[in-house]
Order: sequence, then C-alpha cells, then structure tokens
Amino acid sequence: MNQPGVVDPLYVLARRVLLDALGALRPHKDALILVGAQAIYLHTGPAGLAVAEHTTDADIALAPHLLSNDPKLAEAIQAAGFRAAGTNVGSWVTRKPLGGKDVEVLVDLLVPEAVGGSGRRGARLGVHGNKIARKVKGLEAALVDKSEKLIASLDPADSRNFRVAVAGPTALLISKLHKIADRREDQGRLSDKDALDVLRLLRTTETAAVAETWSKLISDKIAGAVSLEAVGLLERLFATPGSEGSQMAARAATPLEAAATTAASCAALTTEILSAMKT
Amino acid sequence: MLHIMDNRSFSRNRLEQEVLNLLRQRFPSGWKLAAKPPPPKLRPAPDFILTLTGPNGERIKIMVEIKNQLEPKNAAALAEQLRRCARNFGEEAMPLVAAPFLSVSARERLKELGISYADTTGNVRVIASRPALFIETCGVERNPYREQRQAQSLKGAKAGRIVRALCDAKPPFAVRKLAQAAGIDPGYVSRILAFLDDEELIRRERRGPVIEVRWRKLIERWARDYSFMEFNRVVSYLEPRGLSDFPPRLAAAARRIAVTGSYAVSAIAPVAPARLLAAYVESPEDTARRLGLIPAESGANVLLAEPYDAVVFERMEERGGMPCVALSQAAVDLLTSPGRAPAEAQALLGWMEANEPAWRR
Repeated sequence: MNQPGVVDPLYVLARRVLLDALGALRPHKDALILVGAQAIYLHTGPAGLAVAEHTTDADIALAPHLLSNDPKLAEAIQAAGFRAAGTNVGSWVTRKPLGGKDVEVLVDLLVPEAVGGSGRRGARLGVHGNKIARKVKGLEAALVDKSEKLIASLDPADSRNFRVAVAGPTALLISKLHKIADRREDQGRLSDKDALDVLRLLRTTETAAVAETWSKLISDKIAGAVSLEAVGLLERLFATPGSEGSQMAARAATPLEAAATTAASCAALTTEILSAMKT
Repeated sequence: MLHIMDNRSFSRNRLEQEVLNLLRQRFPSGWKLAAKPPPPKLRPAPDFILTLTGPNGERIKIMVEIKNQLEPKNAAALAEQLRRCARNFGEEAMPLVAAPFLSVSARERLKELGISYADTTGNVRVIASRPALFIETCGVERNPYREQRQAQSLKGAKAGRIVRALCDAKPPFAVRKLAQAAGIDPGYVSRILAFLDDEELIRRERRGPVIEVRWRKLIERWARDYSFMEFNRVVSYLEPRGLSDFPPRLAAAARRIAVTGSYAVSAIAPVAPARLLAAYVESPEDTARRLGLIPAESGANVLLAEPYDAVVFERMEERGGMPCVALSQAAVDLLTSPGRAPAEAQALLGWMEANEPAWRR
C-alpha cells in the first residue's frame, strides 16, 4: 500500500505515456474515449482498495465514425515513439526510463466490436487500415456513456494536459463484466483484478445513477445488446458472496480487506443495482 | 417477603417499612398495627414503638430496636438495653429486635433471652403474654445480603470504571476522590482496591491512598474478566462501500461515538491494515440505519457496540481524525477481541509504556 499523498512513480510514468499518446492522436480528439484501468482510476481515485489498480496500460477506445482521414493513426502514434507490440493487434509500446532502467509501457487502441467491421481481431478503420486497433466486445457503452475530463500530468515538471472523453462508470462496469466473461471462456486468463475493478466501481458510484444510465444504455441502438447482456453477467458473477466474480474480487483484495467482507460487499451492491433497475 | 436489594446497608426508613409490612402480614386478621416514634424524653430510646390492637380492643406495645446486623455475642447487651428502655417507658412493652437478616445463632440467642425478633427475610418470632400472642415463622437460613468483604474479580461496569480511573490518570488516588471520579460508592472502591492490592496490581499506603498503579498488568488482569464482544452489546454490519471514506460519515451520524479497536490505535501501533472498524455508539440500530449499513453475519467490516458503561465515552481523544476511546479502553477491547487484535494490543501496550507522559495525565 502506498503512503497517502504519494503517487507511485510507475503511475506518474503511465500518465506521462498516456499524455504522449493523446498528444499524438489529438487531431482525432473527438473519436477518442479513455477506457480501462486509467479511466476507472479517474472515477474511483486512489482511495479504498488501492491494491493493483496501477496497471500502467492506457486503453483508448476509438469511435470509427468520428475519425478523420488525416493524419493516419499509425504514422501519428509511431511519430510519438510507439511501435506495434508483437502480434497483438492494437497494442502499441514505448520504452521509458524509470529508476535507472527502461520500462515498457503499453497503449491499447480499441474499437467497440459492434462498430469494428468484419474481421476477427483487427478493426476495419478505412484509410487507417486493419492493424491499428483491436475489436473488443463490451466497449459499445462507452460510445454513449462518456464525459469530457481534463487529463493532467502527475509530474510537476510536466505541464501538459488534455481534455478528452472518459468513459462513465456504467460503461466501464459493462466493459469489465464482458472482459471477465470473455476471459472465463478462455481458461487460464482469468484475472482477479478485473473483478476487483468491478467492486471499486460499484463502491464509488451512486447506485441510482448507475441504474438509470444502464437502463438508458439498454435502449441504445448500438450499445443496447452488450448492455443488456452485462446485466445478466453482473447477476451471474456477483449476485451472491459465493458467486465467481465476488470470490475473484475477494482474492484480489486480500490482505487489505477480509475476503468475506469483499465478497459480501460485491453481493450487496450488485443486489442494490439489480433491484434499482427493476423499479 | 424478600425484596431484591443491593448489598448496601438498608436505610432506617426502608427497614422500618419492611418490618411493619412483614408483621402486618403475619398477625391474625382483625389486629391493627400502628408505629410511632418514641417519646422524646425516653432514655435509652428504641427506634420506634408499635401499638398492636386486637379485635376486642386489647393492646400490646412493642419497642422496636433496629440493627443493621446482630452478632450473637451482642444479643445480651441489647436485651438489657431494651429492658431498661421498657422499664423507663412506664407501660408494659415487649422488646423486639428487627434487622435485615438474623442468623440462626442470633435468633437462638434472642429466643433464650426472651426477646422477639423479625428480619426482612421472614424470620419472625413474636411472643406476648397479655393478651396472649405467639407467632413464629421462618425466613431464610443464609444471609442474602452478606457483603463480600473484598471483590473477587474485575467483572462488571463499576470495576471497569475504577480500572479506567486508575489507568488514565497519575497516582496518588485517595479512595474518596477515586470514588467520586468513578461515580461509585467508596465501600465498593475499597473492596476493589483490596483485591487489586492482594493481586499486587497497585501499591497503597496503609489505610491510605493508592501510590502506584501497575497499569499494564492491571489492564491485562481486567481483560481476564472483561470481553469486548460479550460485555458490550455488539452488532455486526457490512458497509459494502468499504471503510476508506467511512469514519467521517460515522462521526457525523451518531450523537455520541467513540471509535475503538484497531482503527482507534492504527496511528500508534500499526500491525496490519485495519479491516474492521469498531465503535461505541448509544444505539447501534439507529446509527446503522442512518448510515445505510447492512446487518451481516459474515463479512462484517463494522462493529457497533452499545457500551457496558458510559465510561467508554470518557477521556476520549481525537486520533486519525476520529473521536477515539482512551488508550486504556482501546487496549482492553483489543486484548479481548478475536483475530490479530491481541497482537495489536501488545504493540499498543508497548507504545503506552514508552510514551506514558503522552497519554497518562
């Protein structure tokens, strides 16, 4: 656990890399939505279960219909010092010095599956090609539930800041639930941390507000299907302390919180949301 | 008729009433009983004089002497005093001794001396020759009011208050001042001090003030008779949103609140991240309702306790931005809580030893 008021240097670095990527993609600003761990962190803050949330990866979702043709995404991101990270389409990596050695930091460019065109993994992005961004199911809600936030550097020596859309807590919940479900099918990749992210979102948001946004998302043309499916996932994974997701979160929160407390919290907040959505 | 009473001595008035009621119930129907104070000039004077009026108008006067207790060896002197009193009274009057309790041997002795008696447990013997009257009933054999000469443990709220007073301030402590500070009668304080003296937890001057308190051992000894979970009414809850922003909300939700356990000492004796917040409040249920806490059998992260005594709210301190119990209270609560709490208690007691001037005033 970090000392209060002291930000982990790795997180400072992750924010700097995020700003590098946002700077490179600025001409496409309207198409960008910050999602993933860094977006969750912006909503939940460092308080609470500050266990493994500093994933250094930055996840940026793209809304294809809002992309302009220039500059080309690949050229822009490479000009900012990123290169394609191996075979995983949409993953871009850069190396930065930290504490005397080089650290690799990833930026993932992602496209909601429903608007990613045909193809298995790479999103079809017209003039930008098929190898820029990866299709991901569950991000559709972020196209709707988002709001602009100021992303500033955490390093006093770095004065950059950008206004960019950040996915709302409900959209982040929906995408996390799909991520857990996808990984469940793909045995061995199950990450307890994803379940803890769900709990952190549930804990820091107003139940009524989440339920209202979720209901609106369900009636959205593009986000509707994944949003509705996510209600079932939430119930299946988190509705009781013994549910798989509750147990995953409990493992991830140890030793900051008693496992039974984490699991019971997941169940209690899930029940609250589900019953709020029914009314 | 045996009333539930505490083990302090009876007040005169109360004893007088008890005896009158007892006798009224035992005299045959048609007899009337009236009590009067003795004539002012009568020496020696009894406590009061009873006039017993029979259905045909015949009267018996009874001189009643009230004793808090009567040792058999003192019965003869008392009988002589009552006879002198009856002679000086100038009328025929029958002596009667009343007490909260009369032992078998005291009753035997009074019988031999021809003195009537009554105790509040129902041991009654009244014998008069003119008009002829004989009543004898049995109460209890063993004294139900017998006071322990010395306390045998630190169980109970009053003992807790005395321990707290002895730990939280620096000696010397005079019995009377200690009794005042703890809001307890000096007799009870004396009995507890005698016990603590025997256990070598305090040192005192002969018949004088306490001059030294081995407070760490005293707290550890208290923990053998006390239990946070059993002596307080503890209700467990789940705050599903976690504890990071909880303390300030809790502080705002209850009129009186005193955080105890790990949270109260985490700034002083951190052993591991505190995972369970325990706090004394006046009403756990009301406080929980205001905070939206969920009653929880398992997975509880909040314990709200209705305290064994209001002393938990005394000599509180703010620590980590929360209103917390005094360290002596936190220590005994931790010592008697499950899990890692006893280890935290030892760390706390170690800190308290190293920093006595910081908390003991």
